Amino acid sequence: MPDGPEDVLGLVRRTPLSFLGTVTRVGDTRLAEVPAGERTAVVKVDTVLHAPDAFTRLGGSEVTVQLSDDLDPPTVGEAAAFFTDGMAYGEGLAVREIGRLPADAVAPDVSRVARSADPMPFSALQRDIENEGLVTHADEADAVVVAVVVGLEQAGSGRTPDEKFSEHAPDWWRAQLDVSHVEQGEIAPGRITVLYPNSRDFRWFRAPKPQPAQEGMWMLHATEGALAEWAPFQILHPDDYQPVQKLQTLQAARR
Amino acid sequence: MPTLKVVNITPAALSGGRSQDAEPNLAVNPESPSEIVATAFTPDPMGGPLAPVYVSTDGGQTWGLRSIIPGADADTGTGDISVGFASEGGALYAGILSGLHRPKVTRMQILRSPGISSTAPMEILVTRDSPDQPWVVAASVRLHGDIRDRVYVANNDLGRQPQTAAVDVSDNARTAPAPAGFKPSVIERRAPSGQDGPPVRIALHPDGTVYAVFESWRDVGDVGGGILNVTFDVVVTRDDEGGLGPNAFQDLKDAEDSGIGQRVVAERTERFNAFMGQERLGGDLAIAVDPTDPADVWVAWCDRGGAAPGVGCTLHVRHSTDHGQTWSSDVRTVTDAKNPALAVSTDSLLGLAYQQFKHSQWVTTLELTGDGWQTPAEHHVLHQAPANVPRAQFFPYLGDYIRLLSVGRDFYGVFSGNNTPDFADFPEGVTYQRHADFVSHQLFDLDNVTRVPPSIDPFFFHRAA
Repeated sequence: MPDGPEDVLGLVRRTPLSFLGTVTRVGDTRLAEVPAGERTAVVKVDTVLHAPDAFTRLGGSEVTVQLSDDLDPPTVGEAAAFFTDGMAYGEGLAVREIGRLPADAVAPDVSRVARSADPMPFSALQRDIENEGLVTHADEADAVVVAVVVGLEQAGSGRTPDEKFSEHAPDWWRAQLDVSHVEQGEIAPGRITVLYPNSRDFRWFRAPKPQPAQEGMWMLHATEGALAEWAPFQILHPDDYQPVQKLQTLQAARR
Repeated sequence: MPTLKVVNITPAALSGGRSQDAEPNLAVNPESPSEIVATAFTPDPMGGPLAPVYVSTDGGQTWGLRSIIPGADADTGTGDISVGFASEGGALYAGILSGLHRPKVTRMQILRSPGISSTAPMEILVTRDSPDQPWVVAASVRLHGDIRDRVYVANNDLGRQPQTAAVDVSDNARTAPAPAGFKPSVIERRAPSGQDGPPVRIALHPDGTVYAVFESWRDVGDVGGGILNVTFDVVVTRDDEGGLGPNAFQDLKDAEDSGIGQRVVAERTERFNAFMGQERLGGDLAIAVDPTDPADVWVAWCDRGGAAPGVGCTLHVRHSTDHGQTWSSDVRTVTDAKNPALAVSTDSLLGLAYQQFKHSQWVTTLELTGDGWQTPAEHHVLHQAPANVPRAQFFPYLGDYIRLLSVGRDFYGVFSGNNTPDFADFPEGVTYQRHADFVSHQLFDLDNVTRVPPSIDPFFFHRAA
């Protein structure tokens, strides 16, 4: 196999689902949407290694795997770690193989999870990847501060002069933040004003909604145009708010 | 003897799903009605860049999920999405608001797929910023021996203030390269108060007559919190040549002011973005034409007329038998209702589906009438469930629309609702694919052991003649 154990992190980064599985049939399928062929196999999932929430309970199931053209087909009875992407969802699940490792390569992760509070063997790797994302997101921010929310108010009518009425309108609000620590950016400790969309429309519901007395690490982005008249910064991305404990994570990752 | 079936279309493979799969839409292939595509605010199950559609090839008995829509958001899939099959050839069209929008701007895209068997990402034909609520209706016409797909994408184009009600039309959508002949036509010809309302809907007759209906906003009062007091007219426009000429949708003039577009009703009020049963209100509209008579048109909308003080939202249905020129008074009203959907079968049976907030429940109903409710209609409660379960993750909670279609004598529809497995919630019965125990009223995860809390799922229904 071209991938070695050192590629686990890369494979987890590239795929949403991995599992330790045993090949039960080659050239077969469990889903009509995925025709059986030389490059299909049915694999029994022994242990889910990492997965989106909806697939963490996949263990014990049989999944159809569209095997990678770049890897030798597995043999019946072979156990391996399959790194996959979603392909079809029906009575069962079909996945597309992106990478594969020998079962031994992930055995330490599987045995370690039994002694930890992690829900899945690759949970620690996923945290590392999330922390990398945290650093990248912070690097893109104009300021990163630790602050507590001391005031909330609608910004004007919630609508800039150029905005139309729409069910998808953001409904702009202002949060007053009392900054106790400046991690990044040209800001002095004290009070600053930050804009956020208060709408819970699907376009905006993931944007942070500051709550009274809420403390956190805030990743601030400079406003432009009409919004700049209301506040110098805005928060739109779900990761623009982080629990204050994440400051240590950010600082450690940047060292 | 007519039959009715209701199916929860979430596949078994997504038994662990908890997403708010709201605002459903539906397309049935008229040539092969066993081929059905449904959509909702459903994200790709693995967080991928393509949003899924629900696909059935057995008439809606079983469903799978296939990610083929570009522009997915990780949490909601696309934004607004609607779909339609051409009447011949099996091509599928979609109008979406891309999930990959820039802040403050909606991005409408019109998409094409060669057919239900295609697993390739849909081809992007049109991309335009600012339109809202794209609504797809497709048909096929024979021209000089060729079959052409005539596709309409109604939308509220907020980039064309103040006359925002619009329809993008293509006379050759199946084969032409992008933008596949799509051209926008503004259908609002009066001077609204800043803009029109979000929903613009289309009804297409096989002879080429095409109707469009929209809410012409006459006055808007901002009461804060994103809530508006809106006064509007319901306006119907018509084009007798398929909406293709230089003066499209101008064949119906108002009997009173001679303006383009007949006002079905004027000076109605709504409280736009107000709440009822965890759901937001505003902009409910539907239109249908009798496939056997292009003069026979039905319109439904919701307003505060006749509603109790406060929010209130009353559904009204009216009827025209002269190509939309004159309209009846209300032939049907339903209090505290939203999401009207209309369709007429080839035996001139009118279907009305809607969702009503009643006794703290959301109740989804299908009514069928052959005489405009002069005699009691065939009445089916498809679903009834507590309106406070689950808690809304975002708006819309159930959706700003549902859809009802007719193919021949049959009706097909889709709605979203609380997915608690309880036969008391489904008076007409229901079939689930995801793991569900109707004795304990409990959903279960893929392992059939771990409990899964209720969420909002799409439900398909089919009333076979």
